[in-house]
Amino acid sequence: MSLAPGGRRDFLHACTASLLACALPGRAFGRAAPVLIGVDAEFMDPNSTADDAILFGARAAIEDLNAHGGVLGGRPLQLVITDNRSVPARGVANIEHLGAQPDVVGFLCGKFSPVVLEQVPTLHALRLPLLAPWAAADAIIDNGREPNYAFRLGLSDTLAIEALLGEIERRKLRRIGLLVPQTAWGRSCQYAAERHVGARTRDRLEIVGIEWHRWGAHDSIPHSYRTLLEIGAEAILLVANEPEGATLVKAMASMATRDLRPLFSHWGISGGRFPRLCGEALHKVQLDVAQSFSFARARGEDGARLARRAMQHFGTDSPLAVPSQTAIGPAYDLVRLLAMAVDQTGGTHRPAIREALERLPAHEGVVRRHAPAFTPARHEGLGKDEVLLCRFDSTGLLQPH
Amino acid sequence: MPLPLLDRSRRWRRASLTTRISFLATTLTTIVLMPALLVSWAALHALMLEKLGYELEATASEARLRFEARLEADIGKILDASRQTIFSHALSDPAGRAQYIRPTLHDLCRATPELAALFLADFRGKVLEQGCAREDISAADFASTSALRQEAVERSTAQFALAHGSEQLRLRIAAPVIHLPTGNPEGALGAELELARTFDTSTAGVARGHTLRLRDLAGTPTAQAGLADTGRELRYLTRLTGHHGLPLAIEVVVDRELALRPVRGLLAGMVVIGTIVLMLALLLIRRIAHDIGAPLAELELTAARVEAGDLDALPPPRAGVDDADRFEVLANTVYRMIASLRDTQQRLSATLEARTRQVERAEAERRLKERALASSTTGVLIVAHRPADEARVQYANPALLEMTGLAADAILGARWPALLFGKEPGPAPDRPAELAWRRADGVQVFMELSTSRVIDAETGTETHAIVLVSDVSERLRADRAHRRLLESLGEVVVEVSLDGRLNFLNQAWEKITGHLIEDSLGHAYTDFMHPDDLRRNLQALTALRQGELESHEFECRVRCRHGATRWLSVKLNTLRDEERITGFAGILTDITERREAAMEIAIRDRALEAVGSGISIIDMRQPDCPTIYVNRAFEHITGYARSEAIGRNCRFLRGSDHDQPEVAMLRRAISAGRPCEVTLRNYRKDGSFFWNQLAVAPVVDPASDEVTHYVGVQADVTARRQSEDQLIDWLSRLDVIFTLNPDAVVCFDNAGTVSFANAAAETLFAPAAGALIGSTVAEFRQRLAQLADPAQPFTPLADDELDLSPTNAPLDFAREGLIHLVHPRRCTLHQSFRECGTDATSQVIYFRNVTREVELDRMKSDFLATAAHELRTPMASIMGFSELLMMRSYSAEKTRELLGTINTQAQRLTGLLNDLLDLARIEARRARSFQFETLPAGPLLEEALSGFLVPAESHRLVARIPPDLPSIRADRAKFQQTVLNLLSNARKFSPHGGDIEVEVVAEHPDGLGLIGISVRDHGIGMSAADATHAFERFYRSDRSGHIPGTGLGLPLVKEIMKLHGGSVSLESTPDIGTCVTLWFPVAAQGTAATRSGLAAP
Repeated sequence: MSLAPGGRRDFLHACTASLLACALPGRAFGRAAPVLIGVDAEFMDPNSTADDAILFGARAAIEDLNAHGGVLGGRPLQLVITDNRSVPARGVANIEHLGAQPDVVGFLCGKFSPVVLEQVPTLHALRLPLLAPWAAADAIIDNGREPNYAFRLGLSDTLAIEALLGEIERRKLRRIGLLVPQTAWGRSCQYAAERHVGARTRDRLEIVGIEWHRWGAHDSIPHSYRTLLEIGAEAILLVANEPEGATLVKAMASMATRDLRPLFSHWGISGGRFPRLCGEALHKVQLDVAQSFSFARARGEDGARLARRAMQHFGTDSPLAVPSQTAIGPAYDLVRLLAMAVDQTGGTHRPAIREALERLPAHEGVVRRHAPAFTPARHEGLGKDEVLLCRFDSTGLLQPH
Repeated sequence: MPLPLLDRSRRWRRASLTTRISFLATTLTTIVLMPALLVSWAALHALMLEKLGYELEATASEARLRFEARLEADIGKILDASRQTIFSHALSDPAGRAQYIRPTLHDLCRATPELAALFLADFRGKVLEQGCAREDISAADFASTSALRQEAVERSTAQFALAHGSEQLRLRIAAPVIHLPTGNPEGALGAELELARTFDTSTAGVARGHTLRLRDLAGTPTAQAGLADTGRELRYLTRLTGHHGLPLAIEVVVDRELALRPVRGLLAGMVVIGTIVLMLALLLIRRIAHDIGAPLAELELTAARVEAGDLDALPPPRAGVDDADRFEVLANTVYRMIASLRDTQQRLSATLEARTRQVERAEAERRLKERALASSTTGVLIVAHRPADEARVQYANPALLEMTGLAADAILGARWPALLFGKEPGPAPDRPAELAWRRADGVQVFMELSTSRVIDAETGTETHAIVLVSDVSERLRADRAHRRLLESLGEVVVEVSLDGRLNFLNQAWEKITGHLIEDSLGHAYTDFMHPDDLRRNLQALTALRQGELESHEFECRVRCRHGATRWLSVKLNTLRDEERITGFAGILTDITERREAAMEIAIRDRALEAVGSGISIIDMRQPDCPTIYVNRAFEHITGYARSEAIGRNCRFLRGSDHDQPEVAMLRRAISAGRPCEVTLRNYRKDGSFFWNQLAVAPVVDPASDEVTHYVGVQADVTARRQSEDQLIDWLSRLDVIFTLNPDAVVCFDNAGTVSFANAAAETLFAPAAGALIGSTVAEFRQRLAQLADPAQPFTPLADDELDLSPTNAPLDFAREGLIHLVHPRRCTLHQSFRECGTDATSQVIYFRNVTREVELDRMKSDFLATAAHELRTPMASIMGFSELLMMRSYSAEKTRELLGTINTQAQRLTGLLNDLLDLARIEARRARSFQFETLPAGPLLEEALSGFLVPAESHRLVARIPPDLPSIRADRAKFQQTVLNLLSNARKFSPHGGDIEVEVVAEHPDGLGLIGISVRDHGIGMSAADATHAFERFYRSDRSGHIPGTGLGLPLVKEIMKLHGGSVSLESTPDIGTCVTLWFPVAAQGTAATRSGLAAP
């Protein structure tokens, strides 16, 4: 079904309105005004599953919280969903819309770093806390602003790249080729990689070449791979989303074995239906993916319950088959942390909530034990020990090493 | 009206004709010429303007096309650029896009000089990056155009708008930029084109002498090319087509003075020409007026003379007048006309005089006729018809007065026809009428009246009627008596005039033909005759008319009134009046019924003649019942001519063969007066025999109820009888064939039940004799299933295979199959189906016993497996040892040992192949490869035994060969091969050792001239069943595979013995041993010696 641009917007507005209207808290909490949490992600991107995962995690947390009485002594939590279509300008317009509502206490972003980076000045102007479960650019958190309204429970590019480079180093591969998108995310990863390699005093790693590809125009990726191959890359550090990644994997599957190099991929490729896009080709390449969360490592009873609900929601037989699960746990934890901050603040004043987020007590999350989650000096919720390196097994499930 | 003008007009009217004509013609010419000149000038002016219009249109179209192409190219650049992925990418890359988008936009600006502004905007129209912007474009301009860009994003199509910036017309373009990951428009590429520049560039050199302008619909001149505007100008406007609905137009302008200068020159030229033409016309008119006027004046003078009656004073017509001078011709014509009038007057006077004399003569004649009328015996009555009055009698002659007994004054002036007819209508004109008139004295007079009308030639109305009245009383009475006589006749009495028309018919005509007499009278008699009959009698009728015949009698068909025809017998006689033929009289008699009866009899006769069966009629009333009729088929069947058969009793057909029971049957039926049908042995005239199927039926006289005749119908059924005999013969043979056939045949009828099963089928399938017949398909299938081997696949007849509907396709070989039976004996049957197609038997199933073939197949398979195994075993040894030798070097002794093994195995292989080849060769070439000799048996056998190396430790060869053995006829090599083969078998099949005994048997048990060589072992032996198969090719009694062999040895022996004219026999008991005996024919001279030699101890 195709909708006219106007019709499509109307459709989304209708979806938002219906979500607001049908939300359970309406009945459970009587007439108490809901406390709103925004979710701004790339809902219209047909290939992305990260948006569904984030939405699911956030909604699961809200259901749990509302089941225990909501926040602020009985006010229900409610989601406001906006679609940025992976376009930065739309992302900015969306948070302007969110920021204009006084009961919005924060928002969760999607997986596209360029959108979030473009939102950073605006969200600071609106004093709207950002909770990032996926967007990984370093500059989202390290934005140089004081006070800083951006918080993340996910991989930063530096974390991911360092983990991948560490794995490359561990496998005694030296010459690395970078395949990165020509966006802020790509440049952030490039910077992280160069910084990591430059910091090695013993000069064990070497970046032999960097190939840029344009976002959405993935036909050039196999050519870029060939170029890196020709200049002697032994391992490929891939920063890409699933369509570009799948194009590369399929191209590699038709190459001679001597031309195959191990791929070390940022988590962008796990934000969609990557195994389905690759098909059989996926099993012909050696691919390691950085992840922040896996149901294989979900913690506590909350983690187990979340896994069951995810299986039921996404209709899978295994929790590991849930698409983009790496975002579910962080989204769940972030909403619960935000709710704690709201309760701690005792109101919906956003600067106070931001401050409360920096001073939360210890909390048993499904991703990790947050003790505490954030501090005034640290807005990154995960450390390098929490980075998971995974591989696709024969059934297309991401299995942590 | 002013007086001077009245005066002038009066004076002008009095002026001469010449002057008036000249003045009028001049005026007319001027009136015609001036508008013509004016219209011509107007048309030329219009044409000039139209031409100019075309020029302007062509210029405008060229300019438009060039401008559109240029504009399209510029717009195309912007739209193409918007589709570049770099712009899509830039939407997602706010931080880094400045580095590549700005140069891209600048490049596009440089490549398109008409671009006034170019920028990338987001989905709300907000400018993200700017490529180029003229100084006169303010930030407010950007803002005002954001709506256009937003619309482009929302509609996902490029948007266009016109704008006036700094007195320059601009085109604003907003092209949507598609965001590749979602496929939605998320930004726009905005541009502004300076249309004036585009227009100037594209239309340079198009207009020569014209001014080109680009106008929007508001009409603001924004750009000019060519000459300037002078105020009085001609314009041509053309709208741009298909450019995104832009309200743009191109206008071509030209100076009016300049454009119309040729038209003014043309006007001056036309004025000069018009003046010259007018002057010339005036001169010509003056001359023409004079030519017309002069002769008319002379005519006027002549008319005055005629008026005065002075005709003789007229001038004579002038000779030699020029034809071209029409007025002279006219005058001359008038003179001739006057002369002609004078002649006509004189002729009319003479005619009047002659007419007067004619009238006087006619009056004298009339008086004479009146006297004649008065003296006539026929009454004459003249009736006058006056308009608007009744007809009245004007004249009656004395004869009429006498006939009617009326006085003259009672008649004259009386009303007609009431005078004689009273209230009845009068007689029709021109047709005679009859009137019965009773005179005053009581006498009835019959009168015949004929009326003839007198028509006025001028008015066409009837003025008088003349009625002639005759007294026909006497004639009428005679006629009526005569007619009554004629009407009483049953035959038609006819009178025909000489020209063939019917003059008289009596009432019988109406009865027979249905035609009314009054309708028929007057018609030609030939109109009623059938054309065929007319044609047939035409010659005679012609002769009759010409007097060559006095009378003619014939039969013909007459067409009746309602289309039917009737046969009439006609007799025509000539009527003469003093030798001159006046007509014909005849009598017609209706003979239709008579003819039909005759025809019916003829048809029946014909049918009898045409029928294929012989028919004879016997008259029972005559002594010995003779035959009175036979038809042609009877002659054909019996060979007797009709004349030979008629008058004789039919028994002559039986010849001397009287002893036939059917004859008695026939006699009994005839004596009882019953019909009967018998088949008799009869003989033709030539003595040949035939079967006569005779059916007789009595003919009973209805009056006396007595059998008067017998009708016999004969048919020669000899061929049918023979066919029946032949069929019975064939059926008997088929029955024998089916009964003797070892293969089972089962037939199904249309109802799907078994209609026939031969003896073999009964033996195989039936539990009791005749039990199969009548069983259904299902029952038969069930019976087969009971008998079949449960271990084997059973493929019985499927229901659809025995579908007995006639549309079913005939069964083919594809439905064949094998059935393995275990009861009543183990056998394999090959079943095949055939459609029969007759009612009694729709399908036939044929079960062929293929047990032997199947067994043979199995043995062949066994053989192939064994042969392969046997061939592979030595081959494996050969390959293994040879590979060892190639891989390593051994001592000479070891090498020899290995080579020996290889050699042994190769020999074994060769032996095996030789066996196969021998058998194949023997089979293929039979005895041609054999070299038979007469050889002494003893030495031959010893020689063969010496070639057999027996392993001494396990076996012992015991040969008992008596001396003086006879000679046999054999091939030496084959003999040895045969014996060695048996010895080899004896050794192989006695694995535990034991004696191998060779003996010579001198006498064949059946006393044949054969000598036997038997080889006996004490080995494993074989069962009786195996023994029966021992000579079959590929058969091996040993199925364990421990004993080498191919199953070809004994078959080879058997073949060889057969070609020697001998045989081989085998006796065997399991675990006791086997004895094989070769029986060779003794050579001729050696037989007696053998017996004597062997008889001696």
